[in-house]
Amino acid sequence: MLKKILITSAAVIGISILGVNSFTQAEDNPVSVPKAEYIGADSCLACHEEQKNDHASPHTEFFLKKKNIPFEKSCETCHGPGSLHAEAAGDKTNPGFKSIKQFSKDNKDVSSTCFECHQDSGRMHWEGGVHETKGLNCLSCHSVHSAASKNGQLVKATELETCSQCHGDIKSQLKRSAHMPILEGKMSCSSCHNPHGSATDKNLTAPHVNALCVKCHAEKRGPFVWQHPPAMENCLTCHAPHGSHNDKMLNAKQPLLCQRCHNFSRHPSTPYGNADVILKGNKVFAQSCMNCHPNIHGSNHPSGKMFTR
Amino acid sequence: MKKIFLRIVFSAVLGTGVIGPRLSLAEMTIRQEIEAIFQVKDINSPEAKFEEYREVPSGLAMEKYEMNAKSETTDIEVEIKDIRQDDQSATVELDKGRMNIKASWDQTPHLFSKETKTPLQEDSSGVLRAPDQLQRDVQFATATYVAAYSGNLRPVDLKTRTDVGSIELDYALGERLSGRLGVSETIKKGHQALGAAFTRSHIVQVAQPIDHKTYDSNLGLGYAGKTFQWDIGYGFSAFKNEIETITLDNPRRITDALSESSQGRLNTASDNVAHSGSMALGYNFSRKTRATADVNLTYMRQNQPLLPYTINTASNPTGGSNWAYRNRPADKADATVVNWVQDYRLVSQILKPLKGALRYHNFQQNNRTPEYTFDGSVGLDFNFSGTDTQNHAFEMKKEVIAATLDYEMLSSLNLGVGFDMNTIQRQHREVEDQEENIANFDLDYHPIKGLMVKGSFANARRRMDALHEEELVNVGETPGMRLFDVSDRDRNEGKIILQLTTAKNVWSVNGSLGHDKYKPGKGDLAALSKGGNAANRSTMYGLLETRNAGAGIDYDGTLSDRFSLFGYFDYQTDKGLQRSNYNSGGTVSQDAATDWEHEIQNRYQTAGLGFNTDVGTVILTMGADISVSKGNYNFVARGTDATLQALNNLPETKTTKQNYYAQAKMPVGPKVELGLGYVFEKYDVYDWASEAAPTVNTYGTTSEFYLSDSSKDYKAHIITAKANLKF
Repeated sequence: MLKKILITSAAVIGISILGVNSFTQAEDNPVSVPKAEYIGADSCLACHEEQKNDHASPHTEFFLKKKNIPFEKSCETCHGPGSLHAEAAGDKTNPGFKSIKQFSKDNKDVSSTCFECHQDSGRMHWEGGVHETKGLNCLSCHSVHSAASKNGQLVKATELETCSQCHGDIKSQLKRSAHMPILEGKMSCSSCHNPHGSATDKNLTAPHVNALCVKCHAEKRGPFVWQHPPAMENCLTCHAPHGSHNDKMLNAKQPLLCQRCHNFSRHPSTPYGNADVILKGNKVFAQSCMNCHPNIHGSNHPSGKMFTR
Repeated sequence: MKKIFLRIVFSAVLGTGVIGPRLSLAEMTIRQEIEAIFQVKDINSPEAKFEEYREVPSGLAMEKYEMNAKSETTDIEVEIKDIRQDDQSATVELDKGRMNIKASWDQTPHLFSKETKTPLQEDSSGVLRAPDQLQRDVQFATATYVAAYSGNLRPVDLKTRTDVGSIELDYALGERLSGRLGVSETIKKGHQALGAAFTRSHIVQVAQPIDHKTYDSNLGLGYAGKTFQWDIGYGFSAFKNEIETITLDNPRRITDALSESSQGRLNTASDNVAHSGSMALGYNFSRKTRATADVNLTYMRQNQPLLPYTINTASNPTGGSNWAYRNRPADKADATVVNWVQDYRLVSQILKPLKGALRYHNFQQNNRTPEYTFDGSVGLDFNFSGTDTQNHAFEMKKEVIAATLDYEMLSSLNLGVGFDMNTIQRQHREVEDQEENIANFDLDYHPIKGLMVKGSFANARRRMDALHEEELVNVGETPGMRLFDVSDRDRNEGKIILQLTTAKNVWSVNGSLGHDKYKPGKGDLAALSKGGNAANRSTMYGLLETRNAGAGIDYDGTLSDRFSLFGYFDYQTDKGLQRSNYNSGGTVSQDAATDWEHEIQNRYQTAGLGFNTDVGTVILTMGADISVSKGNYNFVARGTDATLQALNNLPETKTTKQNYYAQAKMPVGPKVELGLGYVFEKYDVYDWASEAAPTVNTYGTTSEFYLSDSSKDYKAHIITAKANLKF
């Protein structure tokens, strides 16, 4: 372990030095032309008529109320001074045409402009986070000028639709018979995930999986006298959080789920034939193993070693 | 709960008066929207799934009310949904100057069954009583329990409702400095199914009364500078259970006996508290290099009184004192766990086309719960055991060192590689020391304008230092068992997404494959020296492998100015193969003749198709959503045992939901919109674990009481007329 830490430390220092050096070599600003000057929103709207309604947009209101930036200056607050762009008069071959910042889903520099205002604690882990490293930028999910959602300036009507642009498989999982109330509008993707990045692998809004689950399921938090270690390690050992064919969003149906770890405890290891099922044998029917072991997340009872009490 | 919400709203409004100038509605532009529906529904069964997390009302109902008031300095948003229904919610948000206050109240129902029946009456909170005469009749054999109880069942609504009231305050203390404060109260009440047993052949499933509250609060301060950012936070959570024990009558005994008690008592969730503190730092060394550090410390505590070993006053083994009164090693649980999580990340644009990241993660779960030695136990309130039992304080430590490198090979092609080294150390588990190395590969390719290809592949190898067979043998498992969450594992998984975007159409195709192969690793599969049986052989038991695959296609297109079409199809399958051993006698026996395997396969298909069109001023939307899921449980006898050979597969379980809808919206002026909608929903389910649930059942020598809470098929037609007024 010490060896790994030493190697990692050396790599960290090396990359830091390289990074700082690269900064000094690479600090250029291709989109900023020194000669460009601010010309005001009226000039912009002369060509960009479709943005006229931006007077009432959340960004314009935010600029005015929180930053004291009047509408007249709002376009160039993000896009930079526009005199050369205006002078190009739509001629894309004119170098001045590209003198303003033009944002698109493929543009990797979008975040630096947005973070002028939005680099708060919720976006602290964007850089190096899973979405940033997969090539996404702010405009992959948000639209400044033509948002489809009521809140959050999203490109789709809902958070779920926005996320499922890439995570269609998760959207499908939410339609399984056992699911959390996301389609019913009682939760959303951001209830558990921070799309702007977090310190965790899956962009969780808590430092680890179990800390996230017990935010709503505090009754499972314990700590208990009798603990079920797999449950303490990770709720996902048994549960599929986005949806499942099985009751309680289990990864497999009971008793087969339990039998993935518990082969021999006298009764559950019996293989079940149709007779048990048809006659409602108590090891397969209703809550199966939890007919007798209901406190499977942990028990406080002196006789609760097997979670029966 | 409504009072809580009103208190919150009142506080919010009062707060604005205290903190800033009093609001004057006359200076504000107010926009309001109200939507009312009149609904007729016809459903052919009282199936709970239809309204699992919602209410579908009949007659006149208020769908939503929204109010937005704006002035040059102030925004007020009010949103109330599903008024007077079981899933109603309300939010008030005030944004004024440096301050943002949001107060909300939200109800979420969870309906399990409308047809539940039970012979046990809820006598007082947490006490479930059977009629004495019936208990007596069954005990003294004047009646069988089936005859006695079949006519004495009462309905109980098997549902819970969670109410959450919260208030959040964000306050800008400066240009870059902000503070936040949040408080919430969560109340959950209702009934849900709870398994309870008196012996292994006597199950009494009960409707467990639920009544608990959780109080949460958080406080934070954040600074968001261009170079340096930090955030500190503190959170407190307290869980209070009003019903900490469930006491239930035994439907077949009125008096206690050594062999079986007249009552059973179970512990339910205990009161507990959690404190957490967090700190996050972000620093830009330069425009190209950034470091972040996150530290979180959580202290969890539970100190509820320990119940007696049993409620059975006749539990009095030879030579011992009565277990109902026997001293316990402590009066209270005194359980404490401290979680300590650290994350450090460095991201740097090393050279123009290269971007690297290093991450260190450290998670420590320190369990300070005392290890008690109990004199024995009285499981199920009858089968006393004088063997000492000792709880163990499970704890673990996990470290991750991860590095990623992204290379922008072309402006349209980005490649990424990553390597994670995981080290896990545990106390009191079968595997204590473990390592896992994970290699990742990513592709992000935009070959032509509008076409995006994203792919990823990961390979992981998890290996243990040693497996402690005695931990398995001590709890009656076979030494050959490998627990899939800690055993050796080889994992391969890949995913690809293709997205084609043109001016009017978006096509998206995705596919994924995953395979986990579990291995015996170190440790003796037979372990004769550790209690294994001579008939053991070197065969691994438990989960052997899982496979998953998925493919989906999604289309969203505007075919003309007046017609847009959308559709999707998604197929996913999860397969698991596990091995076990037939045993009916209570001795360790993992001989080849009685080995068996189960292949479990869950298959999911979801599909949808619909369109939007304008017909004059009418906007018409029609579509269908269908989801099907199936579970197959294929049984294979691996040996020659005749009993096993005679067994069949378990039946397939299947759930199908079909939803067909049509909706028309028509403006009848600048402020009014009328709508008409029709939904047909069809639900079909077969599940052998709940199908045709009996309430009082006999199977062999067993007696069972179930709740009859199974899902059932339904067909529902819903016609809705809607009026939306904006003013």
